[in-house]
Amino acid sequence: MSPEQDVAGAEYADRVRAWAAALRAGSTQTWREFRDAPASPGALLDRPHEQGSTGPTGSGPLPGAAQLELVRRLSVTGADLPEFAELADLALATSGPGRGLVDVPLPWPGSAVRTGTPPVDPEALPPDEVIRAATGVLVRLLESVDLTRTNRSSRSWRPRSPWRRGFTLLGAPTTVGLVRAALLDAGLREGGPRTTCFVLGGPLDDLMVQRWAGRVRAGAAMRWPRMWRAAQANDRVPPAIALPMIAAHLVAELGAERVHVVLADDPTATLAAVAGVLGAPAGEIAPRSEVLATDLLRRLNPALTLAVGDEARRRVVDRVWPEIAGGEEPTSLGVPAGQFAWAVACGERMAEALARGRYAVHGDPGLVVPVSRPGVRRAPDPEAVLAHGLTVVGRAWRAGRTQAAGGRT
Amino acid sequence: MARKVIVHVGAPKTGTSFVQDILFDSRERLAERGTCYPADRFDAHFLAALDLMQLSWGGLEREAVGAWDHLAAKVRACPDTAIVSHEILATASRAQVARALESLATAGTELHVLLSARDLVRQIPAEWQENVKHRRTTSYADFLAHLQDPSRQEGVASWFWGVQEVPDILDRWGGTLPREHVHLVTVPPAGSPPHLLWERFAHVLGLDPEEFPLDQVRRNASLGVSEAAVVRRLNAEVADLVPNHHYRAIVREALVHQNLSAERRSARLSLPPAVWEWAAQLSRQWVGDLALQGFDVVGDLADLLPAEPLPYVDPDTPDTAEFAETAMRALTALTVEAARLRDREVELMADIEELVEKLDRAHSTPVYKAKERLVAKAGTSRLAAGGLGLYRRLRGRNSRST
Repeated sequence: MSPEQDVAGAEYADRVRAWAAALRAGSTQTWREFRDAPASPGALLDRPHEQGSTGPTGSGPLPGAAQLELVRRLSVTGADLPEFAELADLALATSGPGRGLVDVPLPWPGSAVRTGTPPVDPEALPPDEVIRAATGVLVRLLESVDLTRTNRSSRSWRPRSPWRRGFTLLGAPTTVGLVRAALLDAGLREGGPRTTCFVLGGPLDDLMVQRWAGRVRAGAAMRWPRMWRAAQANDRVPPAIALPMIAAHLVAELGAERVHVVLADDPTATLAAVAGVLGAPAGEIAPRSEVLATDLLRRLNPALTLAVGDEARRRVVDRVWPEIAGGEEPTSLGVPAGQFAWAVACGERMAEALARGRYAVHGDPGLVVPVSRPGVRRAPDPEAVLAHGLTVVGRAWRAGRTQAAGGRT
Repeated sequence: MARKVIVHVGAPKTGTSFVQDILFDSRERLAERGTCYPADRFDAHFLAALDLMQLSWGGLEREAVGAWDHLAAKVRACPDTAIVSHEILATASRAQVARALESLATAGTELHVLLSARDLVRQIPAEWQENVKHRRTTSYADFLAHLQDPSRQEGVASWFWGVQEVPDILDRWGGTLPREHVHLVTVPPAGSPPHLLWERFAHVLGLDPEEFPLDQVRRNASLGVSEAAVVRRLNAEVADLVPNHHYRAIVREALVHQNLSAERRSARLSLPPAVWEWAAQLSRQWVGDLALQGFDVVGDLADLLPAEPLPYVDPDTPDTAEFAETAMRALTALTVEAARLRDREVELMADIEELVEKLDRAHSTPVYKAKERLVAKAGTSRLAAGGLGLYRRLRGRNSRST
């Protein structure tokens, strides 16, 4: 490296560290705004190496564009986060896990560097790169979750109603969880020797979203389109949502009179149908969207497994994930274009089989067949996943601070 | 406390497996000479690298939990010299490099970084072939276009440059070390005697090359144009049907390693003329830059300049007859493999039948049969279910066997 390059490199490093220090202090300025603004002579932020820090704002490796942009976006969305400077330090020092651009530098006039990842304006980075940086931070936050604490059940205690038949729910995994919780809250009994079995279903694309979410919660890193490609290649939907097969199996085991298939496109309608059969009161269930959280978690899974092991990952996800990743804006996800025709044919086969079954069917079997929904995305939107990811990082950070202070998350 | 640690960080396709095999097989002999190659299994350093960089690798990462810290502790405990070697370390970020070097050293440890490098014109087709062996379906034309795209955001470009851009890897890994502790071993040109590369490695590792026999060391054979084309086509067919662990055993190991690459019958993979020119120009730039850096070059920087271009045969449009002949070889190899697995299945079925017979004999007692009747009745009778529950509570364990 020539002396001129050395000088340019040192100026660049100083300016990057100064921006990092500004972001750490809560600035939301973009790199271009910061770089092009006249440096205030003598300001500590412009001479971060003189702070004596060895972190990313002091000496040590320069943070890359993805880390810096992550801090800036966190600053934009989470200005009220406690001890933000510490969160910024963590983000600036944490490489994104897995494959991607290596140490992305920032654009700098007159830079003579000819090798390494080309400079990218942080605002122009692909959202996947910033999400990768965010998952690195999430791993660090989640690996320190205290797993010795036990969650108290939020379900209120109600007397069980022993005169009512017990229930068993199968099929759409998320709907099963929501309806099950509502029935237990209403005092109904699960299982038992005379249990009534309900196979819950809805449109095939919704069933697949629920199955995808379940697989990802269990540790898979599978993308949404891959779920469909695998189903098409095998010419069958995953067994957990193969409604006719589940119902037929139950009929063979228990007899048709104890098996009901419930088809609805929202959990409240499903609960109403199930409760109607059981002679129980039905209430409202708020629909739950989990597309963005699932796409974030599938990116997080490999690195979190590496950090804590598979078993601890499962416990962390069971215990903490619903709390920090829930509550996303309702998002629909459609069948990928390449699999739509197959999905329709498959849905029609399922609908026919359900209509022919010897069990009671509540709802229209045709509901299972996916329909084309203009405007619905066929894969999660990375920008939306990133926006949700920033929220999740903020919540995980707050929870960690609360835990550190001795409170409950 | 290790007094000297040598970290061999790549690059892929530069004889790294060859060196790792020698080191792993010679652990005892190395230890007698004061050199540690701390590995309980041949892929221990690979798992450690996955852990360091939080990389997923078709599910293998599940075996890598805590692997880097485990390796680093062993390195620190070595009495004299310790060696760490894996080629995917090349793509570590600066923060990961800092963590790695800090974890390997104690006070007074002399850290060295070793990068082995081969000319780009040979590396590019070799990396595409490696991608094909890792079940990718990207065409050669797209692969080459992605590499030439300055943004590096398409396909596997970021990975390729992460592990193959020699000046940048040396900067990331060696930027904080004295220049004389950063060693660049160049892979000799094609046709050089095989021991020459080992002599260069041995020089940096402080070993006598004569002491370590090369006869048993596996060599990465390469696929030719039609072999690579057949495997890529197969990848597309099985992509969503075969999980990774089966792909590794059946396609990569049984088909590619044991058959197709053991006997390459088609043209060697090379670069189209325009890409050759671009790669040659880039190589010249790298060599010029490296010559100014003052690293310890073992071999000759001229080794990194390409030799004359080979005739180009496009693997995206292979000769139909050659492709068909290679496909028949693949079908034959997989039929033989299926027969071998079928034999194994028959053996296992016989074992299972024998065990079932033993189990049946154990279950033919009157008491066991009574228990079975009770369990069956519990499915339909509350009284029987209550009795069974009481029995299980009294017995003190939750088993559903009886």
